[in-house]
Amino acid sequence: MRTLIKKDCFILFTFFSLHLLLASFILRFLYPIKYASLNLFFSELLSKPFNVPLLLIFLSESGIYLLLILISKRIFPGKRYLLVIFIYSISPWSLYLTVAQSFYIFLLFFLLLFFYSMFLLKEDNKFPGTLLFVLSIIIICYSSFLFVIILPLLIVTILITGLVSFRLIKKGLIISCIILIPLIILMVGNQAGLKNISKNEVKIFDNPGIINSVNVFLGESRSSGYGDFAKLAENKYIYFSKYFLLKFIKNIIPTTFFTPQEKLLNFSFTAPIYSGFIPPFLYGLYLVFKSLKLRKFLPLFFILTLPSFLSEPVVDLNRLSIIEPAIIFLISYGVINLKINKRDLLSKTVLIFIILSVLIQHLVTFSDIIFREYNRYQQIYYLNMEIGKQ
Amino acid sequence: MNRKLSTVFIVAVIILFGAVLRFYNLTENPNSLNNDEVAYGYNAYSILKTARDEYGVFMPLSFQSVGDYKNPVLIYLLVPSIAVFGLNEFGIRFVSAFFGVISIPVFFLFLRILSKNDKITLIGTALLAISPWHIYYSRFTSDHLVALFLLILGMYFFQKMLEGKKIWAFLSAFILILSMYTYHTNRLFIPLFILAVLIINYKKLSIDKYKTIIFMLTCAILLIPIIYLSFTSKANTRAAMVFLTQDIEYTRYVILDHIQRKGEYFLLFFFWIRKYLNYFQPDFLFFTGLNMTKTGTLGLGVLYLFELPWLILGIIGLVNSQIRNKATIISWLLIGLIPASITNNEQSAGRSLIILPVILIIISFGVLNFFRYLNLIKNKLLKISAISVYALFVLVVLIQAVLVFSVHFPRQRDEAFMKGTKEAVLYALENKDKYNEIVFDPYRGVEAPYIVNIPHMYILFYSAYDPGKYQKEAKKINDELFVFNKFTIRRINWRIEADRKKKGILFIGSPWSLPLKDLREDEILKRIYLSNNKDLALLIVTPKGDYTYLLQK
Repeated sequence: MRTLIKKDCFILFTFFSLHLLLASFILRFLYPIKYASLNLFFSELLSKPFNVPLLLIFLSESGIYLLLILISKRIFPGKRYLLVIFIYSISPWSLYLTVAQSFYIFLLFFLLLFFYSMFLLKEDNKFPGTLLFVLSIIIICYSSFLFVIILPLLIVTILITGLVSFRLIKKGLIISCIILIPLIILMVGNQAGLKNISKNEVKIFDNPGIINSVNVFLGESRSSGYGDFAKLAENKYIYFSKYFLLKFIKNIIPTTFFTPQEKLLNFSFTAPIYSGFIPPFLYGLYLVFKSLKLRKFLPLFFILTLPSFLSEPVVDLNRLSIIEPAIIFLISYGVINLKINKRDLLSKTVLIFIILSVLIQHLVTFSDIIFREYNRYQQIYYLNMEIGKQ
Repeated sequence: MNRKLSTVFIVAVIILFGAVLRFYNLTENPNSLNNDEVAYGYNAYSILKTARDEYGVFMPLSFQSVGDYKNPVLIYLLVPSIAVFGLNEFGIRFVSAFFGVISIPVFFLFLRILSKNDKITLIGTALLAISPWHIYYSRFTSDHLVALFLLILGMYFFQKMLEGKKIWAFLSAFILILSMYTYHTNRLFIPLFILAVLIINYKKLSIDKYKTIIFMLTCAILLIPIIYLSFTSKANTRAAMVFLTQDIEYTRYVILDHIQRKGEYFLLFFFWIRKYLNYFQPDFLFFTGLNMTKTGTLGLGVLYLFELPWLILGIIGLVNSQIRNKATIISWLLIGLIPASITNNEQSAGRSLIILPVILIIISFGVLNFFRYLNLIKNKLLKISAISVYALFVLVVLIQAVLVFSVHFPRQRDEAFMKGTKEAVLYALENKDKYNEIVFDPYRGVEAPYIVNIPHMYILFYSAYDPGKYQKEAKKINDELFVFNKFTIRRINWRIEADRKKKGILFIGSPWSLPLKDLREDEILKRIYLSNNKDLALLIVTPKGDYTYLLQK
């Protein structure tokens, strides 16, 4: 038993070191490129802006690693949880964002803490579960305006789908609500500040192109004699609906996560997660859809895409990074089922393909970072070290 | 018998409706012939008159044209059309529209034999008739569409071959290989796809090996000219021009070729994966894929937005093995995107048109499932509400499509169809005798002079220039210059005063080469605007002489 634990610790330590090593590697070639700092929500309301320093972001990233271990151990029996850790270790997504001082890495840590607390509560660890539940809610709400809206939505969805019963979280919710009173007072007291913050964070309506194109289209239809008939199909409500639908779909399709379709840090050619993981991701997704029990998690997945959905670009990989763990869980689920449940030739071939393609892409990615990534950044940003708002 | 009659009646109505959508206003929308159309048209006219192409090559299998080495089938099909209707817009576009219409009954037959399900067959046929993807390419001369028709017909014969006589083996091979002479994409797709379907149907084919032998032998014999051309002619320049390594994004952003070329082939592979998967992007499929409106606006995808839920349900059905011939469908879809993904530039609706039939098959299945789920709703009011809401959604999308096709596309994309060139050329031809030389600048574009025209082809086309004379007469050709008869195609040098002093010459160019501020009003003979009547596309100008007044300014 001791030998097994020692072996586990050794493997985990190796993956963790690999993860930090890769982060340092990227840091070496891309620092001091970073996002414009995003101040904590409550500090903005107090007009005393405070943002999360780089060291804390690195600590959050390490914390995410630890939480993933704790959560995946509860989901996958035996040693299979190591797959989650391994995939997370080598995926560039969070590594790039950590180096760029992304606020969402900090947020992701507390989101995972929130989900971990649910696991503890379900296992009857009431005190630590409630403590972590309250801590995560407080920090998330005090830090991010968007999550003041999204977190209650998450909690309601978790209750409706029956993933956790209300009885388990009742105490934690009450304590959280009490501790959130000062924040609510701040929000009510500083309406102008709140409006400003919401304008900066919710940018989905900031696309002037939609309104312009509606006007152009209506003008053309009117001059062709279609006039009122055209208004049935060409009006800002329909166009915005189409735009929202496009945004929603683009935030959940595999090409966003597995190809550099959307550029990491707005300039990179590195894929957020290696494309060799597409087949197990699709297989894992298929298995989740088939299972009545696992299907209940899907609404949570969609809710977590909201920050990116509400952003100005069609997809914001920075904000979308909070679903990276969910994607990795799906990939791991797919790989595990491929390996265990089907021992046929096709599954073996797919597994070999996954290993080879991930390995090759891993090597190519790091050679590309050395030779070209900084030049790509310079082509777009020249000497400006900030790559935009979060 | 009644059922058969009613099916025939329904299909006839669908075909008629499809014909209206393809033929209505064919010569006015798109509102101009593009470069390819005039090039195809004139070469077909040349074949009709002299049995030689514009360069004097007798009955070529590859038409040099403007250096893009066009495939022969469409051009030979245009010959009878031009003979009957004349060398004009209708004569040129009739072939695509006609093949677009007859694709509908052929698709019906193919779908019937593939799916063995009457409902899927009728739904799929109806979806093809109203498919924006198919209608768009039916309305102007496009080799993609004719190649698609041949592919569907070839696959129909292939299915007949699996179930029936040996004659179908010959016909299937003949038609499939003929599609390789129709469109470049098929040259890569067909061999791979044939290999895949032969493997998939190995068991059926091994029962009667002679069918396979006839099929393979026919393919091999018909492929000889293509293989010969690949090694001996310059036809491969087309492939080299459009290959992925020529993609601007790849060279300037991915490999940064001015900095470092290490590891570029690995990067090329991952760049290709991204391009391949781009064809599954929702913006291409449902929002802007046909590129019929200006960039940054929401136009029309290759599929209608209301087909999205059906496509999802169809994919679920495909995964759950509810669709017959699943392996063939999946192979067609996955292999069909390979040729389109290894070419440069963004997603091309034309190059990926070959996957349309299988997408429609999947959607048809999804439609069935959709109504099956609707029928599960017990509450009558809820059921009626759901159907009404969906019907309204369909109606809104179709109204939008009609507006895009009839109003926005002619106005926003007329430049891509070289709007204005015809008017300029007709003016030049009408007034040709008044000038010693007519100079045409091929570079145009409202935002920047990045659109390259081929004015000489328009001149040949609209003057029905004697092909025999054109083949024989002296021409001066280099990279920057093309001269024949009185016509010179080159950049106009107005600003450096070289051209503005030349009297007796007619100049035709965009405001970039003929800046309005450097022109006198009496020098401007004609202004040609785009369809919006605001953007100036071309100017027709003749210098009047004394420019000392400009030095005084």
